[in-house]
Amino acid sequence: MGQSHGVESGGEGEGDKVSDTSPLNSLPEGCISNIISFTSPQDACVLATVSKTFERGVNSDIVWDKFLPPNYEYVVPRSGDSSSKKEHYFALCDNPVLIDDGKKSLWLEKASGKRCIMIPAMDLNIAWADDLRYWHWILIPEARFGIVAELLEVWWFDIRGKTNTRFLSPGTHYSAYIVFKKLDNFTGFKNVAMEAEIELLGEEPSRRSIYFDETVNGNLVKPEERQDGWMEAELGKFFNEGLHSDEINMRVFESSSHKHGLIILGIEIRPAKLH
Amino acid sequence: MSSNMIMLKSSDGASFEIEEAAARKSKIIANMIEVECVDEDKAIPLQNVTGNILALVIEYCNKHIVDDDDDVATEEASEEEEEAKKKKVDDWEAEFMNSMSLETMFELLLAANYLNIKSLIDLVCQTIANNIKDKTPEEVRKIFSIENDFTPEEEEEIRKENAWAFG
Repeated sequence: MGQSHGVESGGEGEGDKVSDTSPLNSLPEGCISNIISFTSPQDACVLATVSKTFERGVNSDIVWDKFLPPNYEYVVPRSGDSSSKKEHYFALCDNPVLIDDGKKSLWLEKASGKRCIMIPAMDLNIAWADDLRYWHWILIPEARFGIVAELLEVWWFDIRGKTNTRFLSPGTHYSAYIVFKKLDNFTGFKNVAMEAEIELLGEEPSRRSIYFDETVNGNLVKPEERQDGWMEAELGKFFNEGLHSDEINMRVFESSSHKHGLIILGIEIRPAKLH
Repeated sequence: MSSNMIMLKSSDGASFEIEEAAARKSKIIANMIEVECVDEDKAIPLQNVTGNILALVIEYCNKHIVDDDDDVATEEASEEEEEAKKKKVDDWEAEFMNSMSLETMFELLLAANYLNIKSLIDLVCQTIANNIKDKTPEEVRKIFSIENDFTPEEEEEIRKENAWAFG
């Protein structure tokens, strides 16, 4: 695939005076938009720079309607106004919206249009979080949901989250990350392997050991710093077939050390980077 | 029971006989049949479709009418059977598109568009799209023999606007 089969008549790499022979010229613009809608958002934005015909084709609602999630109108504020579907698409990439009765936020990965979600700390099941000796709920303006969980001290570190595959894009490999920040008194995590688990109902759970401290030398999964300044550690990967509406259970657990000084923002699920 | 046959005539005068059920894949022809515009003894003239392209359209429709009949007959087919059947259709479609030149694809797309055959439009669009995924603008211009009609200023502007996609 990908060779210029059937169109060699235009001369060798000359660039100009070949447009008369382009089979594209015979197509109505709707057809060009239709073709572009079968690529990806990233491809479409590259294609916009090919020619004016392509630019017009890329700007059509036909293209972006396909890249937006079905029924996105219900979750995007002011999606009914006169702005184009392309604008709605980029708004949904840059500004997460609340879904599921405000319990999680949703946005799109710009290059692929795949759905991403964040389950905030408030909607996670954190052991001992209702006891002020162990966990605090604090307000920080820069966090998406405002309220985050601060770990004061605990041996029994046990965080569970769950969601449903119907919030995610079908036919997609996903990664789940625990998103956190280390505080000044961050202790009890160095060289401590945390057990991470992801279970898609009816399938073998994926289990791995991860670190919350990126400064250790072990060869387990280490956290990385994000662009927004928070840290994230990958709990595991799963494939969302998307044929059914399945529950996903995630957990991170450790009970052998005395742990302090951490803020939990939530669990983020977004398309996996496959190698 | 023999099914109804109808005649289609291409722009270059070639006549094709096709089962009515297959022809109904085209919304336009289906509508003509509904409003009884179709005279049994007379071919439907399709001014915008040449014989070689019409032959491809008919090949596609014939193949897919059989599959639709299967769907009705095996409503309670298991998931595996469904999957196997879908794979068979996918394989056929891949084979069908595989040997086609880009020029033929465009003509086929125009015909599918004119005849309003949604699934064929999607198949051809998907195949053409696969040709231009992960390509640079220069490569796409070459594939389609199109000229860059932006002024240098316009090109810089649109490149800037979409700079993220070139990362």
